[in-house]
Amino acid sequence: MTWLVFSYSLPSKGGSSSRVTLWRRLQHLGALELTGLYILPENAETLEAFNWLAQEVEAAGGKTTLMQVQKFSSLTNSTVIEKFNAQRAKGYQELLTQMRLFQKTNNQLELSERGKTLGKLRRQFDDMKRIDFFHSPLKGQVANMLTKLEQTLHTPSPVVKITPLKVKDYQNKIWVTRPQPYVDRLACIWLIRRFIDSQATIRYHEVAKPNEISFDMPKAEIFGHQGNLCTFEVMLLSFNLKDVALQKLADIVHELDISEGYFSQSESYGLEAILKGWLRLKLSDKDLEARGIQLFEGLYQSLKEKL
Amino acid sequence: MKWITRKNANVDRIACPWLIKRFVDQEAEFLYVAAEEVMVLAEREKAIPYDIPDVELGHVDGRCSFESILVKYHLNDPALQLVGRIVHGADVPAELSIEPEAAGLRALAYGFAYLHGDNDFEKLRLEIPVYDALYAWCQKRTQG
Repeated sequence: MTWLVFSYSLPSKGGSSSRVTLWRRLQHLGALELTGLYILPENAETLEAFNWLAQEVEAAGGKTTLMQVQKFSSLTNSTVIEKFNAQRAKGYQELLTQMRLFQKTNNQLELSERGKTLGKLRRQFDDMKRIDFFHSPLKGQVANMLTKLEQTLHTPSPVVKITPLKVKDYQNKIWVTRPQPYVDRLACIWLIRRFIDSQATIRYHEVAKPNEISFDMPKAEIFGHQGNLCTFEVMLLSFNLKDVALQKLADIVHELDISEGYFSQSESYGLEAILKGWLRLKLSDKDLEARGIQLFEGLYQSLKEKL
Repeated sequence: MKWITRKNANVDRIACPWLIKRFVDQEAEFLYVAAEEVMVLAEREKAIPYDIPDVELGHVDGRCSFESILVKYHLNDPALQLVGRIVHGADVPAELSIEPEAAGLRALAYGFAYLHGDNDFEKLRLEIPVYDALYAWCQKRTQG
């Protein structure tokens, strides 16, 4: 275990605003304060954060020291870790209190209001998780409660029966969908090329010819919305494609496609911005296809690495 | 002009070249080099250094490098300022929640970094369309 230990002093005159800014920034970083020293576990990110901070202090006429510490002689590593966890526990407790309050008033609020509040709580939780370096025991409790509350926003899905299909029966085919693909169709195209047939032809038209396979179209036989599921989810189930990252990707695609005015996945807002941005730029179907495939590949990698 | 920064880019060092190319210097050429060589090569190549410590176009007064470029070149378009805040959130993990779009941008930038390692030009090629889209989205958000 290596710690980064940061200390600074600012000139005594003026600079009260920079003092507050610095304090706030150290809080955001999740640094633990011990007798005027600020401590973080060492990694590339915390190192860069402290370096930028040092530069700011020096620009304001102050001085800084940054140390790498293997061991504190007055404290064991596990005591330091306990202190970090105690600090995180305060934040998690606050979140639990807010959620209990929400639970009480929940029924009197409009769906969109509930969505907004839960979205805010989810973002606060994501922020806390990010600086929860040592996995405070309360994290799981908050996650469970939040997920339960989020489920109350969704209408329950009718039972859908999906027929299992074989990948090899769907190779060397022409796939057809409507022009100007958005999230569900772009995700399907990525899935087809990546998991079913890397050479698959995709055609953009309002109607499919007899031998072609239509997807996410009003008349699509298999690959359309079923029950509460979007087409991407139906494809995953049909071809029995499952891993944790794909499931998370499916949750993102689902909520962007069947928007209920509220996103529970933190990545959804950014993805929406990019996909809607491309539609605004009036790209051709082929450009949307090429960029969409790159986008979903990048996102999939990122989700895989994170898990 | 030539513009130089550290290699192994994730967010800021990909977003800055997009901003420079689109709004500051259409003829810009970009160099990604080892961190310890940035200043030496900047001098030799007469290149403008960015996103490294102790330069004007770095993290200054709580701004990320993208935002420092906005300030320096007086880019006051509200849509670009919003792109700046999203890049800031995606780049500085402690401030991820300043704009809702930041988390998705960060996930994507790291996804491309996992896929393409230190090939910064490939990441740049893939992410230029992403920043074009983000800008179009921000134009709409700031008009409403």
